[in-house]
Amino acid sequence: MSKLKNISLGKYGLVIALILVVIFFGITTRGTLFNAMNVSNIFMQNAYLIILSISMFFCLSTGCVDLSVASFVLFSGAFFGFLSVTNHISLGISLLALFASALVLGVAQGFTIAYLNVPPFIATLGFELLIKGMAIAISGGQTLGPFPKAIQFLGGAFLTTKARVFGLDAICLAAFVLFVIVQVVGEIKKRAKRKHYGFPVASVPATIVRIAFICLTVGFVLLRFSQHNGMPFILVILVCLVVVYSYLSTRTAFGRYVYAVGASRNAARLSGVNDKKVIMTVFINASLLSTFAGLVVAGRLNAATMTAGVGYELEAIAAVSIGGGSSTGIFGAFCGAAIMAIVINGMNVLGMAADMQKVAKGLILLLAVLFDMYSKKRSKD
Amino acid sequence: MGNDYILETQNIFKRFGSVTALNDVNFKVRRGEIHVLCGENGAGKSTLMNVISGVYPHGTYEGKFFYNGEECRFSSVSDSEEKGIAIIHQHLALFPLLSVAENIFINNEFAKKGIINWDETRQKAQELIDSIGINVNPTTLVKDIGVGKKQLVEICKAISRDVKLLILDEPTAALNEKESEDLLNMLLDFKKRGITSILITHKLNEIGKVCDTITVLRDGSTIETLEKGKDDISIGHIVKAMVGREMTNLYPEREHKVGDVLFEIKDWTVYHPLHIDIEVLHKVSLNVRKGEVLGIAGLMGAGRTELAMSVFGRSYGQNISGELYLHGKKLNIKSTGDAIKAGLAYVSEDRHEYGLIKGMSIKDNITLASLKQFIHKGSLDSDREIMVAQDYKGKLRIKCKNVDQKVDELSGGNQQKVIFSRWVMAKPEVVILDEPTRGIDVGSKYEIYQIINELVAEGKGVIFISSDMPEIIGMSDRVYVLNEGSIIAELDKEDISQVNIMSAIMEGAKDA
Amino acid sequence: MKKILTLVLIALLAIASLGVASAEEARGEGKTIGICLTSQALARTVLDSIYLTEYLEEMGYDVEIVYSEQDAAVQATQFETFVSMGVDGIIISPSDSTALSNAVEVAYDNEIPVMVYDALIMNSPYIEYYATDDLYAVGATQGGYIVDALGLEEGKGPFNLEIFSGSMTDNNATYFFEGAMDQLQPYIDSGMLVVKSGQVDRTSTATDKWSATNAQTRADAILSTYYSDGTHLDACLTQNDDLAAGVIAACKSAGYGTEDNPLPLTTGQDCNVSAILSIINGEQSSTVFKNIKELAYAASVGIDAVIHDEEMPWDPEMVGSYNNNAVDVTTYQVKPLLLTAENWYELIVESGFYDAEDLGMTEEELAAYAPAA
Repeated sequence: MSKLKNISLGKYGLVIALILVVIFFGITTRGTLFNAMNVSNIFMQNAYLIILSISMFFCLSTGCVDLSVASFVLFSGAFFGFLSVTNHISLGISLLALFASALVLGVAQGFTIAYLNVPPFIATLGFELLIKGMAIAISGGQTLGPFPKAIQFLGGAFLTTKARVFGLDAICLAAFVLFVIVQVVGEIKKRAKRKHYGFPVASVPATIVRIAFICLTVGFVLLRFSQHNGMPFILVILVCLVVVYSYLSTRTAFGRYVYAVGASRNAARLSGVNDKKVIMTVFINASLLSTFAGLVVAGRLNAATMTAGVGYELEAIAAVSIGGGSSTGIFGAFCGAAIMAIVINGMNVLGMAADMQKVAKGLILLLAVLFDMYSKKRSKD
Repeated sequence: MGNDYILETQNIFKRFGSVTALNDVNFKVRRGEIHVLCGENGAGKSTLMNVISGVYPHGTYEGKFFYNGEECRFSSVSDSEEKGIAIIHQHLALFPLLSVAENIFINNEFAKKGIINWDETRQKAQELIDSIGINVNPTTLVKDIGVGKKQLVEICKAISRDVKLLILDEPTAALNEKESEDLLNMLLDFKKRGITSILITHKLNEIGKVCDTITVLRDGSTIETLEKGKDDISIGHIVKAMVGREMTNLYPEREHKVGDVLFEIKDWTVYHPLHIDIEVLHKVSLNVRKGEVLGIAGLMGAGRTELAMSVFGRSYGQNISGELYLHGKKLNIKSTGDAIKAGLAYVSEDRHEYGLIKGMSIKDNITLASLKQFIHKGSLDSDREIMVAQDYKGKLRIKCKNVDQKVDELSGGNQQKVIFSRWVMAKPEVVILDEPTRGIDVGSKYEIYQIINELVAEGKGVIFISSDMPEIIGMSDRVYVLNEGSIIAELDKEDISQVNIMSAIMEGAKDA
Repeated sequence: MKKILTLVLIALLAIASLGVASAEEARGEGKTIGICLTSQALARTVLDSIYLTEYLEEMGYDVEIVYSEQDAAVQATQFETFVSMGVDGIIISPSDSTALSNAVEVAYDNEIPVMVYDALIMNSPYIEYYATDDLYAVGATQGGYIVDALGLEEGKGPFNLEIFSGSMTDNNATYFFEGAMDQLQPYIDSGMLVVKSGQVDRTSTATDKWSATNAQTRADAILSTYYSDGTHLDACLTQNDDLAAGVIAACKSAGYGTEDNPLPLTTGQDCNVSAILSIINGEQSSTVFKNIKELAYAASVGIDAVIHDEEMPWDPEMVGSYNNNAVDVTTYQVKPLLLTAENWYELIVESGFYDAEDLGMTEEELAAYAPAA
């Protein structure tokens, strides 16, 4: 049992926090948290947070904070609305123009931070104001809608074939089976490799418990989807994003460079890493991802509003911090986002007034981070 | 002096988990003496000092210790400071963005009702600076002064608190010959003023001059206590006690097979990165041959690190002019990436700031400069990475649990070996080493010298920058002397000696 | 593009009105009116500035507009700057109703007429004139629509209702809420209107920042908690267009919007373009039309009269009085109008409020909506 603690209490601390949050809200909402429609809601309401957490993860890993994500979210809806809704420009061209502008802004921001050496805090704050102003000017301060079907689909649609196997939605069932296989096979391979090189491995019972727990949770969620409207389409995209970015950060040279630049920029540079290019890339990525998040938000609401994105940058930073930052990887950021998503959803289901929600959010963030720091410290000793 | 002990420890045990860092240590220091503490890395010297100074508070260790006859139960460093114990760590505890005067009187300000009297602070600081003999302005920011001077500022800090027992952990590690000598003289001066000093050092050649007593620690235990005048305090004897075995040569044997010119620097001129008009290097020209260890000697501030870093991918300075040639072909190097591709490698003198990637594993640190070798269909071949890292672990005898361990947890010597592995793996032709054995124990130093010998045996050229005179003399085939940004002397093997190097510097200083 | 055209239009209007003004008596010749507005981001504010400028410049005044972006301290400074500049009159739309009493006193001492616009300045005896939409009437119109559309007066019911009110920091939201709830409360008390979530008071129904996404999230939660058993949500009091949009999106996500499961009735305010389109599409049920042109006109002629020390030209039928805890202020109240799928064309298009381009249609498409004469 002590071996278990030594190896990854840091990561476990995060999962424990997640479980506690779920239990707390599960009880206080008298189970509504777990009902089919609400489970779907949790994912769809907070898809933006997962996307932004991935983007923020990379920025924070290089040691740069990005305060401009919220303005990209706002700009995305406003500009796309202006093109597609107000001026009836075709979907394809609107999207192209949107992402092209996002790219230009991302390059400008990245260049300012990486090559002009403006501290990221100040640079992203400046760009935030700039981009927000642009968004308001373009949309004339108006709510723009309705959005084209394709974008609505992105934010709010479900992927289902209406076919049912054993009373369950076919796609959800298939996803579950696939997930279990991937987890088990992946774990077996990983253990074999670590043993081969003499690295420590967690005990078998601990691993079985962990895998079983993950599979049960995922299974429960998929079950709920099956009982509501099926798999949310956005979830498929989120899974792809998480997989791709996980791969990028752990299995490519670029991922290694990101970590090195964040941990010791000077040392990385002297080892031949082009630190400026790394930082620039990370910010370009941020601009594209947050623009995508903006489309998802506007798509689900079927409108671009002037209050879109408010506070999102802090939520994303909080999610990554709760998740443990670069030491726990994308998985950590995902957990952090999950904790925040459940907290926000739980408070809404409880009908908490907006001001109380703010207070509660702040408290929970502090507690989660403290708990995570504490469990990491214990595992070090 | 007799048997008046200012400090006495009894049966001190300190454990970290399953590791016993101090194993029944009984250590005595006479009042007013200079007591040297030696031992390999990991022997427990710093740990013992941390117990005495309160860094490890009472309750975290077993055993007792007495200061001025009184049993001590410190709960923090402030407690020991109040008693007159001051410890100057190897990694200095100064605030880079505050001035010298502010640092000296930190936590000890001249304040009335919370308002600090800065005039008095500056004045008093100046007095201390003068009494120690440093050439620095009390208003200069600490980040703008060199390592040697920083050390002296720390000492001023200690003096300002009316220190009675001064503990210095590797104080001369970052100083050159002359500065080390000045520091040791200062300790002798302190002795006259009644201040007792405990000196932890690896520079065995220096201690003979100042020490009264030497205690050798090995694997957490007190092995031997030697008294000057009574016992044999020769280097050989001390090393044997430290290492537990005979060590005949400090420098491994090497067959000198020097070939043609491999790498050449011509008319290299570099200006200060912040002050465009200050010329840091002036038309430096030198060359390294195949299979040669080229030593670069000089005082601190001569510009050796600046030379190395500016050559290695323009990592230092602005308005750089001059030419670099490898195998006679002119090189176009604008970044560290270019430098590595061209076949250069650089091991920095500051491995914490410019060498190690903190928080990253040994394996990842080793492969960082050569990741392209591991890319297989777009992703990194982690199996090969592990194998290669383990290979280097064995070859360089890096002491660690496994290559997945974080570099932060290794000792100085092993950390340096990790960095060496990184550069050897990049298959360079020219390796520039900047103070490669600083802060490393005797055993590891020897291993690094062996690695250097292997490199030159393969036909590589090694540029060896060091402030440790015996080291330069012991390792180099040829030596250039750099002084205030210019090459002032080139010495062939037969002419390399302490005398020649120092007189070249003196001559250079005269002409300047 | 639209911005540029608008600016060109204003420029032309200004030039034209200058021409007109010089032809008649230029009442405002050589005089300046300072206008303090709130957030440039709100579509509403943009319209305020356009119409106020139009009417005042027509009369020959020079107009200077500043925006406080909801910062009370900034607005006080801007107001005081106007006073020290020696403007001839100030129109102010306060972002914070209680923070301007000092500034207003200074204006009074300097004999600069002040016209309060849209939101009332509280606790000050130094203001005399106020032009606003009848806030209470806005809420009453919304509540009244629900009563009528559900047929509650005829005794039909019971029906399920949920309430979405405005931001807690917006003082006007209190009046909207009061107006609406006075209409609905009797039926809630009698049980003909059921609020399953139990969220009936101002605090629990408030929507932070009037944000559509916040409304959507709260609606998601209410639907999944109280309506997932098959009960039908019949009506939502959504107190502005953005809140309506959020609630409609949430309902659609929960399966509403078909023939068997129609969307609940919704209300609104501001007549956003997207809301009008939503009403045309049969999603949003209603909104409230506030004639900003009328409001701006009233404010303009009002301050003009005070500057020239003349009698107020306001239609006595529209004039009432609001008490700001210090004094009773003579108030011009613009009556809000209910807008539904039946009368939107008349209210929006025929009045010239929006044209085809504003609505994103061609002239022909728009003309197709004209009711048969």
